[in-house]
Amino acid sequence: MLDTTAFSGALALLGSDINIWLVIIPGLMIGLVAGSIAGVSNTMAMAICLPLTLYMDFLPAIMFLTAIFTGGGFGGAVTSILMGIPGTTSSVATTFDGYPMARKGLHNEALGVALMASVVGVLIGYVILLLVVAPLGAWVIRLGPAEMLLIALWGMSMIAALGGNSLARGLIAGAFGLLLGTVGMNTAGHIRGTADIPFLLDGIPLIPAMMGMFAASQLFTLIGSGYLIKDKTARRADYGKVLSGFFQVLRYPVFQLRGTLIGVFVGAIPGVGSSVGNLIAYAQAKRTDRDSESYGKGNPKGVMAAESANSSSEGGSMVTMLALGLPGGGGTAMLLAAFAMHNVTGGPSFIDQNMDIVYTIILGNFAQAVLLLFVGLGFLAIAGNIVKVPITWLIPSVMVLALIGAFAVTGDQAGPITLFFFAGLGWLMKRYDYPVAACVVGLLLGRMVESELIRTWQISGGGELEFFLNRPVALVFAALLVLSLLQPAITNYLRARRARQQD
Amino acid sequence: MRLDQIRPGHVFLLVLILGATLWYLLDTLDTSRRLTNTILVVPLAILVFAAGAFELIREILRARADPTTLEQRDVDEDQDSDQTPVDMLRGVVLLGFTGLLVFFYPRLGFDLAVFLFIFASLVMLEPRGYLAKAAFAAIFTLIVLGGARIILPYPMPTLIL
Repeated sequence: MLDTTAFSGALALLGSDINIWLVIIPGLMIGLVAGSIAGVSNTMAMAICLPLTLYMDFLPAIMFLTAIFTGGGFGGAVTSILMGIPGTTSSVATTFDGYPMARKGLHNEALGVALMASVVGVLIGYVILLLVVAPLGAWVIRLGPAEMLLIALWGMSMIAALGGNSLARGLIAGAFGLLLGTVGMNTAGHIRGTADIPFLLDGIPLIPAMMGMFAASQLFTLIGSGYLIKDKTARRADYGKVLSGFFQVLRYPVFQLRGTLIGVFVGAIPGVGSSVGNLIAYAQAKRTDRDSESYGKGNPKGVMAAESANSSSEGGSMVTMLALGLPGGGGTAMLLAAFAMHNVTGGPSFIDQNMDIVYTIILGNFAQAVLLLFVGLGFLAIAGNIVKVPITWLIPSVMVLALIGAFAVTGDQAGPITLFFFAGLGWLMKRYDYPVAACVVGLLLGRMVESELIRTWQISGGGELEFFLNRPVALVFAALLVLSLLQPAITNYLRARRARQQD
Repeated sequence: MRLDQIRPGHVFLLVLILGATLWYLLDTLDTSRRLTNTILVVPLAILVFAAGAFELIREILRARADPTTLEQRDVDEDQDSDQTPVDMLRGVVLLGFTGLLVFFYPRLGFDLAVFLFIFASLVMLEPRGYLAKAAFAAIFTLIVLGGARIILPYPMPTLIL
């Protein structure tokens, strides 16, 4: 599994050029800041910094961009936890428990959990990459629409987990979100719901819509409150509590490991990536926890599952990029652009001939993960002070930042307009106890579900069962999906049986 | 039926969702009735209509119920928020300000629109200390928009900056 010769070569390469190490901390800081500003994602930061890498050698350039990628993975958690506004689709699930923890005055613990979960997630993700990059790449290439559909359905099961107290309202929110996600031109070329508005051809801009729904539903309900946190003594950055967050991650290794594994394998699938991985990991954590009722109210295990999946998906997406030369998402697309700028092409031949460089990138990312711990702690000292700002000053400021972030995503008025309409919708939904999160998840997954459903239908000749029986990976996914849905019932049955036997 | 027990905001939300779903469904069927167009939209629309009708009926029954027999959950929903009616009204106004910013920034310039939005919002949320609020709005606009213009590759229409 491990090419020891290439490994030795990688160690030699790492020791040969100090620039490989000098770019890591600036990259992490840029990623942290970019990820923490809603709408300005790590992908955008990588795109902005890409021209700078033209003046660097290949390895320092890749280290710089992957550091931005790594920093941004945690940066998104900061705004999710402190403001309840996920800056990227990969931080959506972090909001569900991170923000309630912050409202209870546990923002330091939540940030500590998120940081440690991110660090451990990145480390384990890259260990898996180190050991199985080539076989995992060969596995990814075999995935087709049927497998992608099942992954999307697995993500959709999240909607049920977020349904809230009322089944009818949960169904309305989730189904309406899915419908909104299908607006535009579908994979079969049919154009629906655009009302002749050109920017809707590609669908509703997801990030502005998501920011609008969360921003309004969280911020507007704070009007009348003095501060984000009622308890004055809790309104400060406290490293002791951040450290207690670290230890919470170490106390629940199963949740951390499961979230990480989900993130790596889902992150390896092109086009799916961390936006679905964090949702699946969160839903799994909620389903399998004895205390599932506490999810959505400030359970640190929810933050842990989401952030570990979000961060480990970086390692997973690198598999696709290195082994197949395919971008798994925006971040790896930037990395491939950097490859091209230095006349390097990723793919099977790259791995065959340059395994030492692959290992150098992986080992460099180990160092990034460790450094993220310290750089992240420093960043939290500044970012954590946001809880001291009175709500009156915070709300309009955050709304403007969100609007600029929405503008940054689309480059024109489409983003801000989308944010505005979804802000109104999100606020109304929150006011009348409709689960906003379920609507957002539906919005994220709608296009993917429809596209893969159509492709699967077409390729299978109209849903022929034999098609699925000949796809063992799809059968395995289907079995995993059914098991994960039935797991709470099975666990309860076994517990009740054990209790009866003890009686 | 007690009209004061109807929640107009909830009815508005339901009408909005059901109306949008109906419009989208009709637009989809108008585009094409092939399975590749309707495979997901039609079942989801039916689900939204069914659940929406259930909620509307529930809202009507609530309006007809004796207030002493209203389900505890309904009462809890209304009392869940710490916000007063004035806070809710401020929220509506803030949303209105956001709409004005979004639709008028191309004409006013991003900088002026943001400055006016922040100043107006601060004054609306807490009507005192106008000078400090104006200064904050100006400094915030300068820093945020100045930084955005440097970072973002898109042209941002501004009046002064």
